[in-house]
Amino acid sequence: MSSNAKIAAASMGNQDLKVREISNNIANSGSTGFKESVFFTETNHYEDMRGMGIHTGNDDEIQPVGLEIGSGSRPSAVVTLHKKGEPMPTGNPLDFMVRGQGMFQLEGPDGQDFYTYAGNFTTNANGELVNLDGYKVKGPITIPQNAQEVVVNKRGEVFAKINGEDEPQALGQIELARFHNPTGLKKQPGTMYTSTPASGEAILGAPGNDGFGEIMSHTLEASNVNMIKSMTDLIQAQRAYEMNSRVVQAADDMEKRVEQLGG
Amino acid sequence: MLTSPFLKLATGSEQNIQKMFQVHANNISNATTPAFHQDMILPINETRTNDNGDDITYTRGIKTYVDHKEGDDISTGDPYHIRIRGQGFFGVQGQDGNRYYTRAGNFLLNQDRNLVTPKGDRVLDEGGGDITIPVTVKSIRIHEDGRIIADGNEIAKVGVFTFDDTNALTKKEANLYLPTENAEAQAAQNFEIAHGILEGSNVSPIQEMVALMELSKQDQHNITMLKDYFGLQQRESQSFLDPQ
Repeated sequence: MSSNAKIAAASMGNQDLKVREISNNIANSGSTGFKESVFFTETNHYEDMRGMGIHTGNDDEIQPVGLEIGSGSRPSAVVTLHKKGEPMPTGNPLDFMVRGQGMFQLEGPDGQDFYTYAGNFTTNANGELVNLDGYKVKGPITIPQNAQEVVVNKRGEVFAKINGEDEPQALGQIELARFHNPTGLKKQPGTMYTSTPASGEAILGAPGNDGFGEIMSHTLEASNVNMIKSMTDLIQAQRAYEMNSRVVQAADDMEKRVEQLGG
Repeated sequence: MLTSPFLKLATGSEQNIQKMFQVHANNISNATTPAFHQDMILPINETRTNDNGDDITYTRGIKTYVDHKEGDDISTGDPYHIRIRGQGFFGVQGQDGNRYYTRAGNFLLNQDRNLVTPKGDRVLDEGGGDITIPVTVKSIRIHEDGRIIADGNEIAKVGVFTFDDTNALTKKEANLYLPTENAEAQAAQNFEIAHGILEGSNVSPIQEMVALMELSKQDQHNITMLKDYFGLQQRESQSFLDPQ
């Protein structure tokens, strides 16, 4: 394969990665608390051919002129955009959304920490508040079997109305996490994230304090995917893929012509 | 025979076609790279008079230059994505000690909360220092003049630099430009910073494809000429070996 064909073939690979990222965004446009990711490319190295010079009209004279030729593009970064999604009222008392930078903390089956914007919770067999994967929400919060109604206020304090009791029973408070650099969080399956050295350690706090944001119950955070923009991006990436495949073809044709000359 | 002026011309032309092809392939490859400014080709044409007295114009070589026309907006809403409208470049401290410049403002924070490029190079403030966002900050705004306002207080001003002659910048990998030794960076005046928006590539893929197809045609002609030449040469040597 000629160097020109390689440049275009590598670009096809880049566009393929981009299409995958956009398709994943589109596939998750209905997923609660999902944050879209953007795939970026950057320029590959440039070769400075200035030193080679160029012949001028006078055969013995070589004039140095600007001649820098790039060798295509390469993947640079996949960045998750932590922009807030729209609130979606659901009417379910165990659906929550944070109105700020805070994320819900979850405890995985092996005790690992996970973080999420998706507050569509439920209770497990023990009455513990869990997400749809069964990961425990920190608190933790355990809802008694005989609770008639669960109320969560904007400070994340959970109360249960128990049959026969006048005063609602306080069950605890949902604790939120936020990060110095949310962009550094690592995406995990199930719209969850884990911390990395780039994101920094989780800063813990109560809803309503220091930018954590208040909690809204009966509400979920919609994905922040902009469908129209995603579709446009998808078409653009597919076109770019096609164009690069045509460049591969043209470069191959050119190489064949030169080869035939030798034969 | 190999030193024939025609052969030199045709093989030289073939080399130029290959180079020009690469310039277009590189532009197309970077059609979705943030703030990529396309490379343009300037052919160095020359006209010579042949033995028959006909003027023949051919391309002796090519030069490249960068078309700094601004790219379109790409809206991302990310607080650390910024673009320059108007003239100037962001300053970047390379890990190799060189100071680079870029138009691509897809920045992020590193673990020390410095504003960095995706490669991890630090973005410079107007005085050439690092930009650090304090841990306690809840909201970030970046003003049109580049001032970074964190919770209502100015914490830094993004550096936007310009050069008397943008041709003094040579392109490097990772969307960076390196100034030539004598080039002096100055504070840019005629610009606005937009926040949550990136500058797109200024490549028109359609135009680039058309240019490539033209080049392909040129290449076919060139190769046909070379083939004819070699064929002629072969017949000549044949007739020399087998005189009638």
